[in-house]
Amino acid sequence: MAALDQRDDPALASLWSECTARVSALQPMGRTESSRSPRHRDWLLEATGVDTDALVHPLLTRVVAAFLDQGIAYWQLPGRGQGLFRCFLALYGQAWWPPPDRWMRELATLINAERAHGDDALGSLARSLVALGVQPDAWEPFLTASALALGGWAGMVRQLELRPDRAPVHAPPASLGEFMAVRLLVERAALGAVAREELEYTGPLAALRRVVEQRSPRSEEPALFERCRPIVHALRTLDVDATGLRAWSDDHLQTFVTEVERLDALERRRLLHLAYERSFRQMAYNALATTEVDAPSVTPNFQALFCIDEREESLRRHLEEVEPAAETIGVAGFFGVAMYYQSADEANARPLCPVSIRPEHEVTERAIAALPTVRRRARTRRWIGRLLRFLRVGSVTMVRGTVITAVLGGLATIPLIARVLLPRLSTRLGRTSRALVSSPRRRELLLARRDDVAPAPGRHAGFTAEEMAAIVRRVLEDAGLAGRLAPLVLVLGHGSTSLNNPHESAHDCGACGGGRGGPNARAFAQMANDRGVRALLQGAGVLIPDSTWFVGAEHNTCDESITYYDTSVIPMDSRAAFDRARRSLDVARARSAHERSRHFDAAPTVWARRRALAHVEARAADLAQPRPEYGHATNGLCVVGRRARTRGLFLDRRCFLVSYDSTSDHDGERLARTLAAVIPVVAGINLEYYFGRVDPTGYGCGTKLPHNVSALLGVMDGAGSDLRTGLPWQMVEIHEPVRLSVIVEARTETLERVLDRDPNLSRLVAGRWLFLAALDPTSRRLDVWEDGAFHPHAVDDAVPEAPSSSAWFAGRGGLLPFARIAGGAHR
Amino acid sequence: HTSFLANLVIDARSLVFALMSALCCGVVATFSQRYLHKEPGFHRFFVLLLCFQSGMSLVALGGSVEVLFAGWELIGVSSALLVGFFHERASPVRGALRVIVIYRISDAAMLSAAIYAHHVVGTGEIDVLFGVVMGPGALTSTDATIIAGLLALATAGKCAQLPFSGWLPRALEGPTPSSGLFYGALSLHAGCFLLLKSAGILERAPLVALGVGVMGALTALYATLVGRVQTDIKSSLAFAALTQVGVILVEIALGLYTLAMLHIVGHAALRLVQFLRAPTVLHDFHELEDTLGRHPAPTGRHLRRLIPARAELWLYRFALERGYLDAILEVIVVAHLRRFVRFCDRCERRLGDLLAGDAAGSKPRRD
Repeated sequence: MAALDQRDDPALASLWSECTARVSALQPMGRTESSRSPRHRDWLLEATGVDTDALVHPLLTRVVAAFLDQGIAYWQLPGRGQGLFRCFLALYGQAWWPPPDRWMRELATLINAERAHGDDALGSLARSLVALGVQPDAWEPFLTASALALGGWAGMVRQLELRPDRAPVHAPPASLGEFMAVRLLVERAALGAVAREELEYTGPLAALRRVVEQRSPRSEEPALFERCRPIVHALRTLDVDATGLRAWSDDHLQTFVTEVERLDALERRRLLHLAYERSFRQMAYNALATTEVDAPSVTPNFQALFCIDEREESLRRHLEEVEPAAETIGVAGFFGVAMYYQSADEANARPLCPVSIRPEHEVTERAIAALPTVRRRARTRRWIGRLLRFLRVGSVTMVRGTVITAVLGGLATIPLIARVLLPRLSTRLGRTSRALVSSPRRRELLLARRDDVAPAPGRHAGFTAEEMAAIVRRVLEDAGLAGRLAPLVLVLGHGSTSLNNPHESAHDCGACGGGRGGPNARAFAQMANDRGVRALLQGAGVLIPDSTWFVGAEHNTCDESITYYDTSVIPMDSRAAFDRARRSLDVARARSAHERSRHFDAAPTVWARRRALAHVEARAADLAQPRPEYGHATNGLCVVGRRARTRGLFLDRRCFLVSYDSTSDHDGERLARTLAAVIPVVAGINLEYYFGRVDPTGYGCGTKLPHNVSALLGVMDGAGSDLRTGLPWQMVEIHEPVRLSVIVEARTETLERVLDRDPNLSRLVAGRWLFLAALDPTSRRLDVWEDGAFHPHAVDDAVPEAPSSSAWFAGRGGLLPFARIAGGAHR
Repeated sequence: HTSFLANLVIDARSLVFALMSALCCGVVATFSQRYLHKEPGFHRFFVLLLCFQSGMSLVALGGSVEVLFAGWELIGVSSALLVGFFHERASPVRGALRVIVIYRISDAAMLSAAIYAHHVVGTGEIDVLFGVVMGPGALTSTDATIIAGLLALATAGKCAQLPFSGWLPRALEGPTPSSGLFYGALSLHAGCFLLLKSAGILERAPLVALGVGVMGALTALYATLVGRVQTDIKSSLAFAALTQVGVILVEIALGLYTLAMLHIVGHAALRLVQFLRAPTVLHDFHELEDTLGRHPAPTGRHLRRLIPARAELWLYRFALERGYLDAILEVIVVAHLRRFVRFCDRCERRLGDLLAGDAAGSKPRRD
């Protein structure tokens, strides 16, 4: 551009020539020597244009997937018990009728040479590093880069190595060390083959780098023209012409050029992003710094415990609008109950608690019915299971497949049409027919400790009364509920159901480790209702009145339904309150569905609430729906404090709400443990969405549409690729990538003290992975943590007001500003 | 004298096939409306889907070789472009290229069949050509063998039969509904239907019929072996589909046309459902576990009993590497081709340098 403009702009021409003359005399661009990649593959790719990973990765993907497979393949990899490395050696070291391509034959030769040294994976890894000429001080970057080249599979191997208990079926004995040993062997064969084909080089791989470097000299400095362009632009913006520039000293010009060159595209985007994040934070701080400080001390007619999940914010707000005398509380959605859980319909127990905890208790659910009925149904189920399995497995084989497809195939048109054209109806039909053979509907949790059954080692069947009392006490105290319980307390866990969605559990409860929190809520309610537990609690100074009853429930965040547990045992005195609460929740969930539908492009923004519920139900039941719900998308805020400080605020389902009462926590002990448990989880969720949105194919897993479930462990793109990790585009597309703002209702001194003592938290704050602010418990003062100290926030904008949530969002799509809802306050 | 006819013919088989393809395309279009919502290639997808549907209708109802060929081409082009639907990534585009190459071989065979038929019979009308109207004897058996052989070659490419099977797993890069429609339900069966349509000529070329039967049987064996070790759901389904297509070709070669037709319809419907439900395999697996009350017993144990351990390992590698088809192609065809192209490149450069009077072979100058 500049070069063209010069012809008809003499001022520019003279500026240009002055600038080029002066800049050429300056130091060359202060660019740091970009260090070369540690991987041989990258040098070869640069020199020859041939990618050795194109040979290595398909093979590794096939082998590792076959090794880790949890049950897709009909024919399992032979000899998995001996570990990945030996299994690989046996499979690809076979000399008899080798594969026709030369590099695979060379791989067999390499493997057999390796076998002569024994079959120790780490020994082989060390030998490969030597053969590749990697110096010991470069091992770490080299191995890191090599592992990350197929990071999804490497990570899965590592995950199964660390947490075999989380494997869907079984965790085959593989380790990251073995994976890397295999990888480097394959890589050596591929590098050798490509070097020979492309460079006619057959020497040792250790010298490959030198050979490659001789052939591809480093790229030169950017041309003067390229360098001067942004500088001239900047000079013109500042109205500096050639004469002006001539007056600048060399030092002055040097400083200027350095500044301009530092403000490269990445830096510009960083600054713009900071401004973008700041505007969100200002909005949040303004809203929080202008709320009422003290809630009127009315005893609520019922209390509802929700998960801290930001998706529950809308349901809570609508519930409070429908029932102003209700109170909602946010606690981590496993309600302190860390357990392996097995329902009456399930074959296996699965952990339901934060991923960082390894539960020590196992809880099972049992049908309450005559034993013969239970057994008969179980038998019928097994028969159906066997038939289904016969058909499913048979349809992919040859002989059975011929009979099944030719004779019964035509029947498949019925589910084909029904599933696609009538999703809700066919889901309902499926549910009804399943209910005919599933365990009887009335069930109970076997919660009390049983010493007669022995679950897996390291686990106990059920909880002792003391353990239950400790769990209940902690949750009630942390939530600030001790001593002020309403006659009815609802405990709502949450989960999500959707079809055709390998990422389904990403919509479930994060505090339950990607499981559904209903059983935890149910277990908690049952513990709190237990007479023995109540007696123990009373002894410890936490009184649960006899008139108070807890009811567990599960909120489905996708189809917005609520399932209540153990309603038949609710005492007569609490029934009326329960029915009333249930009706209020029914209205609230319809409104919440309506509010949530604003983000769905396929839903109109103005419509009847009933239709909103039907719409979200259809989404959950639809095979063809890649966006059953948006999960945690749009989250950006976390408030730790009394609900009174956020009640009546429209927070647009963007705010994690953690209940914490600083007035009863004098030493900050409770705050410390609340933050230690909650902040890593919510910051993790927030950052996952942040990075998934800013780099959807790097940190996220790209679009869902070509995804292909592999080994029952993860998804690949198309027929074979790395396992795709992170969130799919369809979950993050509406997300606004802002780092989490955590606002804690506590005195700044208390918060500073907590921060000092918690290295995890202080690392998150100091590394700017999140923003921290303190909301004073007794005033509207809000202090923002910046550069190691708290600075008061100045409110710079009024918070809009609306009569009700529905009025605020009606007819509007997309993200909305936070607002104050007149009808939402406690009455 | 040669005339070109653009006519459509309806008989029981073509009607069934046309109805089936309309049904499958309709269902997939409804499905994709929601599935591809907000996807950048939304319109492109539907244009290609409709191209494909037109192609299928033409193949089903075409009354002359010319019309069949037009349909055949539409199917080929839309398939390849849908395989490469996510063209911002490299592997779908590579897969699409592979599909195009094989399809071109298949198309060339089809076109040759059409030209040859015109040459000897003077018309491309299939009633005439395939002996419905004129009865046996219109073609000499050599002519019949040549035409049937070319049609069988066209079928082999389109149906991913051996030795062309390598493209099938690579074709799964497209969005799930199109993978299901093409490689589960319709595209893979188009070749079978072509052979059914030209059954008349196949009957007069017993050698070709034998060849088709052997090819189908080998492919079925190959695909069932390879399919059994696939650890991802789409590949497993694709090889299962290929197995059945091999069996269908055997049925056609044996003259069991009604059975073949029934098999095509049943297989297409079942496989399409399975493909559309592929992402739900985790769900299905858990549900199966829960109904059985335990982890499902491992499959394929009888294989282990039947085959000696060493042979098992060898067969497993053979299956895992998909029968080395790609490698064989690479060694036999591609490597030589590449060497030849490089040779040409070198010659051209030398010639260029010579003409430029710069024998040293300097770098291209910048202006």
